[in-house]
Amino acid sequence: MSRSSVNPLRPLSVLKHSRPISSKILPIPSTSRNPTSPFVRSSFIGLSARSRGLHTTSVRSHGEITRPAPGTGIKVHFKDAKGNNVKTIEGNEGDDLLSLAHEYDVDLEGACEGSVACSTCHVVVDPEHYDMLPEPDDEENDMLDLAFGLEDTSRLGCQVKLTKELDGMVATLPSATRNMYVDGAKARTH
Amino acid sequence: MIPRPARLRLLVSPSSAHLPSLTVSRPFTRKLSSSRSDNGELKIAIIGSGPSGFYTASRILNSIPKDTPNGDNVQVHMYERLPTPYGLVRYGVAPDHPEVKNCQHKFDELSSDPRFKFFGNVLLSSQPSSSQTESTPSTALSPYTYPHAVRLSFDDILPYYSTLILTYGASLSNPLSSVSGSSSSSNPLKNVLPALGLVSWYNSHPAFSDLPINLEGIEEVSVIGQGNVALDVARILLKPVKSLSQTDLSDDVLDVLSKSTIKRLRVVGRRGPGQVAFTTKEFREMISIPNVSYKGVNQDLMEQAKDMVGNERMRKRLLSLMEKPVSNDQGDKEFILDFLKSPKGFIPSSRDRSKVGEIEWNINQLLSTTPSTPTPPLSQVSAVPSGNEVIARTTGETVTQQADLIVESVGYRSEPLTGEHGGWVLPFDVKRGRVRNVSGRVVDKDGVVIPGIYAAGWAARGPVGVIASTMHDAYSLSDQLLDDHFSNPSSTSGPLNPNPEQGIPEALTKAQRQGGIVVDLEGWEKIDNAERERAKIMGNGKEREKFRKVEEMLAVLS
Repeated sequence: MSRSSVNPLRPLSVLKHSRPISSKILPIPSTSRNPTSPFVRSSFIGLSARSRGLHTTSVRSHGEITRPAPGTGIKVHFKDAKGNNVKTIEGNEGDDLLSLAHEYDVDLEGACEGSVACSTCHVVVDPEHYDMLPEPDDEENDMLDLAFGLEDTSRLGCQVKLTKELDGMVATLPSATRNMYVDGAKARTH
Repeated sequence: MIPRPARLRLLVSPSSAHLPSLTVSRPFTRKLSSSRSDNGELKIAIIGSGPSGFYTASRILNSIPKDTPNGDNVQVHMYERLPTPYGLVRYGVAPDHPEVKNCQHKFDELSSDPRFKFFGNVLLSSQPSSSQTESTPSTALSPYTYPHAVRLSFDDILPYYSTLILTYGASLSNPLSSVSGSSSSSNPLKNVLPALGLVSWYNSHPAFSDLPINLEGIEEVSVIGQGNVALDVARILLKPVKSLSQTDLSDDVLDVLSKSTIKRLRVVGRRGPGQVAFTTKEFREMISIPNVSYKGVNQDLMEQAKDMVGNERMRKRLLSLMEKPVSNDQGDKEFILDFLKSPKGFIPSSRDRSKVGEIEWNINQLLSTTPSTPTPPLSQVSAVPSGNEVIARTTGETVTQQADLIVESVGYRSEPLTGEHGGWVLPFDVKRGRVRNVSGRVVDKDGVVIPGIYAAGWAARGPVGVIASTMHDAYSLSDQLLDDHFSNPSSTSGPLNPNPEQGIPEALTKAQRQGGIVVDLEGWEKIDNAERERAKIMGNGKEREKFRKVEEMLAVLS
């Protein structure tokens, strides 16, 4: 199926803009809404190319990586959401992006350790190389549905396996955006 | 439950402790290394060892590695009322989703950091530790009071810490107290269970191991609520028991499940197919159960739902999956999604007046509202319990259906952790059922920030989101906390101690001298090994045979 490039920060406005809603759905005046209903404050978390030594010894057992001799492997450029290069790494055929990210200390989480049970290793692939990848299966799509900053060329890093033709691929780490559900009240200090 | 993004990097709060309007700013590391050298000791107590607790501990310790200037100034003590860590990863995540439990390796990694200590079997509350009585909240379902736990009050521990983080989750059920016969009503009927109770029971949580569950003679089940917990319950009740036999469900539980006579299970929502809170993966699993048939969704309702969700990717894919009937040749059980119904009353069975026999439903219609405030991003919509755009309102019509077992899956709330007497009391928002906080900073009843006290995960945000969102929340909170501590120290001090006393709280060592058992990481390892050993001896092919009683766990240590 085609992936709509929805902006996840855009308010859900399906009802406001939708075609006449069937008769069972009656609009109620907005004044009757609970005035204390939660609102969302979206905030920005900057991405910068920096290692803070966040990776302790990994206990992951899958995806053991052997680094190719420099200059001989398949190149992948990891970029941040702003397009700045985070790290260019080299891998071998069959290596997946999550394992490579861990091997080279690129800050990509993998909470379920590559078992397609979460979306924490979401990356956006450049369109040219995206088209060379096999289609994501239903299970991967189910997880991508839940990813932040989903784009037309989003994939789970654990499901992208390197082939020779992917040399030069760009994998962008999506912008991490936190949405805080605050209760309308502002915190105060003394 | 909805994941949030993978990884969060730099989060820098503004210079005051006001509501953070977060901006990208100077690199974090530089700020840390140039921070105050006079005190700056960051000695943290974390209450609760579930994912929000261990992701918070991990983020903080990894952000300030031991060999950096502030490295030796950081200590993390984690308190847990059970002898076992992992919280909902052990007792909430479905047994047939073992891959989701991989995140507990994040906790295991902590054990190699000498700055981290785990105190299991220690219960924190506002109650003085001398008092041995503990009242149980009425919505807890189980009368269990953790009788084997070492009891400490906040006053016992606060002088020992510069920072307190509440990550104790949401361990009570949202009540349906206005519904006659519900588990939280004045006349509870048998075979009406909060989902929390059922889930905790099948996952061998010690507080629920004595729950009297009997599926013999049960044919019609209604699960009220349409979140992922409802589908977890439905799946465990409908799956062939042999497909669960290799999971970490205990043999006692498997035995009860194997005697099930369930024929039909409805998962019922107050709104329509466009407003379900469960996610595609969980629904796909439902319709893949080999012996279960599914008839799809009423076409009018489905058309209406499609109009409502428009082009939204996740909901569109989910609706197209919900639309298709799945007939199964060997299908001797039926799974039904039902909509636009809210429970009006649970009616006693005519054969046994102590048990439930039927549900009377109010029939609802949908009303739309125009969002007047910013709404969550699409990927978070189903994580928001209120559902701002479409609400259900009763039409006045009712319908009655047979129900031999009712599971109330309408959300969780946090425990207040207060006692009858006491010193310092944790601010708690009773209405919302969570720690009173603004963006993770705990505030008093007037909304004033209490310096050094934070909350993360479900205790802070309410029971929404999957582990990935909890992880994200924990990481953001940790970064905010580090920034507060090292860059924007508060000029006022709350109940915590900016120059914390050394070592572990005296009350804890005293309790140990008096025979109380505190389970450290080594103790947990013994319990863990004993569970694996049990499974090996039983030869049932499982990874572990969980202990269902705290006594059994503690016996391993003696």
